[in-house]
Amino acid sequence: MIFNIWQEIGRRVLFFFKEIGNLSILLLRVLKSTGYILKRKHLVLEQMMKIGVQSMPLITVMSLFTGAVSSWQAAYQFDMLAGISSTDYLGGAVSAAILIELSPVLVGIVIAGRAGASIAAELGTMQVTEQIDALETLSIDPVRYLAAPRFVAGWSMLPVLVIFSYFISHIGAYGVAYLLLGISTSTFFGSVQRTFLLYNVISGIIKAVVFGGGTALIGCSIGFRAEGGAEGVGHATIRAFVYSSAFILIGDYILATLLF
Amino acid sequence: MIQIRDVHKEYNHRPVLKDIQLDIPNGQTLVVIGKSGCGKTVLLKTIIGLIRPDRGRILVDGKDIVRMNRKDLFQIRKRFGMLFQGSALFDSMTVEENVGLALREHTQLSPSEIRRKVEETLSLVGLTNILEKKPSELSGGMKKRVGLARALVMDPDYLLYDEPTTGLDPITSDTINHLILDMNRKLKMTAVAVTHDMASANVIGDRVAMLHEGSVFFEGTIEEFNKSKNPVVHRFREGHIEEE
Repeated sequence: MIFNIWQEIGRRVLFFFKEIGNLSILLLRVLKSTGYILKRKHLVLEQMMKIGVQSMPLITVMSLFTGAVSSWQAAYQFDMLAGISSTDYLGGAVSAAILIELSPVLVGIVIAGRAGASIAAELGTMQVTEQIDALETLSIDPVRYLAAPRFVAGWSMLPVLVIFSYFISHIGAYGVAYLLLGISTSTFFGSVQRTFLLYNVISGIIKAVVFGGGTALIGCSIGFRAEGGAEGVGHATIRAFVYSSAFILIGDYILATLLF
Repeated sequence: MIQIRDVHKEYNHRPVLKDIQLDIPNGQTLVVIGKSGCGKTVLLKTIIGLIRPDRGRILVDGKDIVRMNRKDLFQIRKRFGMLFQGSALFDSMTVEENVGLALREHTQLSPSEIRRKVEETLSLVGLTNILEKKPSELSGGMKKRVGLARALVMDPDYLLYDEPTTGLDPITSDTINHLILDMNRKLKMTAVAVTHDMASANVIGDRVAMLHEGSVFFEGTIEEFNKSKNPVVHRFREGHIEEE
């Protein structure tokens, strides 16, 4: 019994390092494709549209309500639990939370679900229907043609989405503060201004670059190795979302300790 | 000329190809036949370097593709065209984009020249006015033709066909068989076709190699194959159930 447990742990540890190895090899091959990508910008622009522009409606809804609920909860914590008037601190507290954590992590997870899983499903379907083999027979490297544009679009579009989310989240937070909590515009944004640090914005963008590139890379790596028809593509899609989400949450902790 | 030398491949310790030896002289069509799961497609994919054998050599005009680096392999593959079992058309692209992809990637042709070449190749396989269609809008037979046009567009020296008639009705199968025969004769191609369809083998093949339990069980001309009294060959040819 104990032997079996150790065997299972060993198997999982080996599996983990194998996945890291696969991702590292894919990353190196993608980085070597930079010259190719510069000559074929249309491939990147197409992916930027899919990962970035087409995600905006979802990011808008997510950010608006994240800002709104943060504002409501912060006011409740200040007023009811800590017994401090939230009026002067609410804007600053909510803004810092949005800039440092909420927007980068939540946008990352939304993109992991929307784009990462979609990349794995698309490439997985191409794999099981021999479209990847067809590319190979046409002397077209699938890593260059499929993975590199998605990687570039991932790391470049996530910061744009995070900045967009910053604005929308602040609107959501301000809306609740103004309409429901009776905090004036000048008080709310005065508080935001007092706590604002450019470094918070930069740290959020650094996180977004890492999360975007990582999510795209994980989706490609899992998609390329999909097997077993429709069921295999389904598994690949779920794995891409789970791995990307874990990568974002663990990566967020590591980056937070490095950046702050 | 393609020469296959001592090619061996195993999956999960189960040999799929056992020391295969085959020659495909220039201008000839070799049909590889055998039961489903006997390793025909693995052999075909090994010939174009999609699957690496555990040991053995694949010589294309004397150059061993098994030991080639990826860059040289891609150069060699430009001389090949392959028609896949399910056509493997890129479903996010139109017919024009599918057929013209290799031209866009590997040549300096202008978009109008690419379009002209794509139209020429499509008309060669009997298709017109479908440039803007997506693969999902095409019938099985049309997909095979578009797949064939994509394989032909770079004027390859070698063509590989993986089950070219699988999933098609008898009339469409016959049309595809005669199309392949015409292409091979007209363009003087060297071809390898994998099939379990004896009607197809009889139409397109110059020679036949029968795979059985991972080995080349029979190799000879179509006539020799059709006259063979060997019980395994006879059973496969006539479609009889294997006796215990």
